[in-house]
Amino acid sequence: MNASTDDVAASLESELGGLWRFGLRLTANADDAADLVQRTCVRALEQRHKYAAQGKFRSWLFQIQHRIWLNELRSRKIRTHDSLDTTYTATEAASGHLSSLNAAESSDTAETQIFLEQVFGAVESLPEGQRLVVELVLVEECTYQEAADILQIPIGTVMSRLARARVAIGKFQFESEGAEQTTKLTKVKQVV
Amino acid sequence: MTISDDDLVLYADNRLSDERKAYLVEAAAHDADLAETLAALDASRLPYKTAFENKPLPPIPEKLRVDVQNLVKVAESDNVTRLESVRASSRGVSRFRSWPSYAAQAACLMVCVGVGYLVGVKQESAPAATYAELSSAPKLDGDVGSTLGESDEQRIWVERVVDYQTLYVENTVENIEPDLPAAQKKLQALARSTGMRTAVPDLSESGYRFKRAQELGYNGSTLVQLVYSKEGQVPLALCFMLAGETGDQDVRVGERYGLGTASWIEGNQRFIIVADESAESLNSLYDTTKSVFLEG
Repeated sequence: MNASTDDVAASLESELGGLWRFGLRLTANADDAADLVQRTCVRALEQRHKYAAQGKFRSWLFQIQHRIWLNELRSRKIRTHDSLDTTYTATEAASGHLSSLNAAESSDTAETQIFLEQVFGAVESLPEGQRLVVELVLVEECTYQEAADILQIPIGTVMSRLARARVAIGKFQFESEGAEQTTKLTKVKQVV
Repeated sequence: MTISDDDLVLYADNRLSDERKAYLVEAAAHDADLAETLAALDASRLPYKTAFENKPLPPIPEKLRVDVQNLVKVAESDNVTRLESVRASSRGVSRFRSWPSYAAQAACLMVCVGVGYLVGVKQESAPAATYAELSSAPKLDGDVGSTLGESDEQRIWVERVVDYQTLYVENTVENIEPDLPAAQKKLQALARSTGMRTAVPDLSESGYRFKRAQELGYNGSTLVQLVYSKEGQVPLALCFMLAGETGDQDVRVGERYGLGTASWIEGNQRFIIVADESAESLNSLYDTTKSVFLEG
């Protein structure tokens, strides 16, 4: 979405969902995410004169949000390595997963759910720098350059992290498929 | 010809040119590691967006939604009446107004006025007080004193000051060349016009160097903010304002958003120090500050 300088305030509310998601991914904590989103909105309104209307509004907001979060981390002198799964989503994810399995409307639904969980888990298992690049490019559909701008790193670093991340995820998939295959073989043995 | 990260990413995204892709495949036929890498990239073409959309996330807190709506309302209306100065400041045009305009500024609900000597100083990363304060607009729109107890009022004041201060980062004031004599002169003028006691404590024993003085607005009243810098630290802020007819309150040391606070009321004047410091250091800063104001 694009927004002119005068539209920044009006467009902010419509981007709240994206800011919330990115805030959760950065902080892995709902309270921190709420504070971060609010501070991002404050900063965006303060700096709306700097927004270049030809740019992607969401990317501009993400850039502000990421910068604030880095400063927050510096001020706290801590680094979080928590993933989404280990904090607020663990219970929800588990219950969501179970309810999906319990419904068991079809085995395909459950298989799909498990597969999507694996994809999510593969991304979550990446080092933080790679994870953020993957989420920006492959989930939020930012361009490589937009991801570089948001994270304030050279585009070469974005490409390097993406390449390593994609290889790691691919290998993760191999291992998952291998484990699944092993499980199936075990079951066959038990039946026999 | 070498194979770059760009090649690998574009290959994974199916955006590599046919010619380049053929080169990679050919090279992989003679390089087991590259073959394994390409196979992993093939396997990495996954429904990422769907996987994340499928993941349950906590809903956006209602309070956050309301706060943002309030922010937007203020931003959309700030060119109409009372906050014309805010609009200018948010554009970076006249955030630091000249000192003589103080009387007019003080009539505004919330203003952000720089001490005269700062006019023209580039302040790209310096936060404007207004939106930070208005991010809690419902609490600040004029009725705080009439509906809340004094301790609540002091607590809210502390919270708002810290909320504003969290917008400061290490480099927010790094380009400012301090002019202590000019600041002291202006603060003395402010003291004469408001009855507020003013001073610029020397905090160098704690490693802090004075950077600037600003007049901010809080709930219709003048709030003085002194900012100090220290190598590798977020700036320290010493803020004070008149407290009305309230009794003294001993210093209270606390923490908010990872920032330490020391706040107290003395002689009908509120004080707060906000810094990334331990309780012990905050107490030391408090002692220094208090003695300077008592002497003044």
